[in-house]
Amino acid sequence: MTQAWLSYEAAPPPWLPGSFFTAGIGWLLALGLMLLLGPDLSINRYDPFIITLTHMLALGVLGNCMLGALLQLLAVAAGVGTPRALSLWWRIYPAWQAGIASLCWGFAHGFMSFYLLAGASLLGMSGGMLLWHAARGLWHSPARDMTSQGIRLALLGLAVALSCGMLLTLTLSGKVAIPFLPLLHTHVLWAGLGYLLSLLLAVSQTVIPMFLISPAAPSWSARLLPAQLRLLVGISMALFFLPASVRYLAWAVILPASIHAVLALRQLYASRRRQDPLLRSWLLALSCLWLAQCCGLLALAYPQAAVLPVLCGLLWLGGMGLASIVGMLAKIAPFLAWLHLQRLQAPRGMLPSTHGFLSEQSAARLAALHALWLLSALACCYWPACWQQPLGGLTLLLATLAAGHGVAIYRRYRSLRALCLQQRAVSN
Amino acid sequence: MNTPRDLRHLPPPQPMEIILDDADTLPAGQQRAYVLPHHPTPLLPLLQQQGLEYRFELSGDGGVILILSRP
Repeated sequence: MTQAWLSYEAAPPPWLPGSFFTAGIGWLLALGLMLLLGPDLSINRYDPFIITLTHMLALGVLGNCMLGALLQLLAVAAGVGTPRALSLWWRIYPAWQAGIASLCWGFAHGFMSFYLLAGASLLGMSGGMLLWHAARGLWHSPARDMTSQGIRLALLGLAVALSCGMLLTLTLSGKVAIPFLPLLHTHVLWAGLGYLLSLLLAVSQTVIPMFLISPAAPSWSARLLPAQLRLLVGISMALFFLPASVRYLAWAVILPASIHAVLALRQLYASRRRQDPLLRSWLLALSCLWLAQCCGLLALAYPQAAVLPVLCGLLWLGGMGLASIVGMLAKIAPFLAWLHLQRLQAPRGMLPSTHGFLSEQSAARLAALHALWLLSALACCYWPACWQQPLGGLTLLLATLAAGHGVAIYRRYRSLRALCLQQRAVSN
Repeated sequence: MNTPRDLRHLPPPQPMEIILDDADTLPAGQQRAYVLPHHPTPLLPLLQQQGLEYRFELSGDGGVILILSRP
């Protein structure tokens, strides 16, 4: 067996991933408020307001949700426990939130170097703590399955993306002199492909076959992520030393992700749960992956079209990233609540199924609202003056609905937990 | 040991519920087997809590056979 065993003493308590998921929703609320109350949008990837919104979405919403899921998945898939959860939380959580706030403040106020440097330092420190925790655990873990291997590669992607981000802030502050655009493109590629996509694909290797009752991906597909990372190393070098070859290398870089997407589509086609909302969310995520890649390649061919890089970023982060997270969290969060109650040795029949924590209809409503949000965000790329306010309103609505689902799961968990503890006290 | 019961067509946490329910009634010295789609990491501490022993075999078609016994 390649997967690792985890003792309950070392398993992360539910509040640990829960606090990151809550922060993710908080940042989504902040994003909505920024859209409603902030300056007018200018559809240009270098506009400070667009950069602020991008980092709020990437680090605040997606980053927090992925950190929470990562801590849980490290435990479940690779047996990496968190015996001192509170200490780990203090080392990662406050610095991560403060880092995002500082970085976004710096971007929104004309690239103020003090806030950019402070934000990057805090994020680097927090990310470094997470990487240390994960790397130490994975080093000792016997797990060699596709999810664990994917997490290893995603963490490498995170390390490079964070390092490039810190170098970018140093460059913007005039502390070091590194060619800015190659560094920026390297940062974007490693954050988007090296970290976000690698982690989503790694998580999906466990979550999709498990919840959608579909066949596992073929074993040879385990070679795709390492190939993608090697190509990323190649294109990063080319960005600095052989810029003329980047256009050709870009085609190669998107190949592993595209093959993964085709395999994932085959998995969905073979699913025995065709009506599950997760299937629709994952389908939307895969569609956004392809569309974002098309926009990225078109942006290389038509550099004068300012909307293309923005569309690429929106489809990648708000489409692929957010759709995956909306779909998977609607499965993972109720399952975690159920699992933690099982741990209390609840009497048979007392616990509802996971749908008793969050119904499929509720999950489907959230997924549908996200799809609507994405459509309005796409419209906003073309008609920002008309769509900025509706997009802000929809962002707030999406965050409120997600928060409502989170509260409903927590309240159900809390009442069942009280019942379980009561039963245990009676039987003792 | 009887033919392993195939639970691969069920969404989580139904396979876990079925195994835990079966485990409650498993007499000492007996064993039961289940075919699962993957290694059931979250289930293992729950089985150990109940004093059960387990081992794994590969089903040969991508699944994992969990063999439970009560000492």
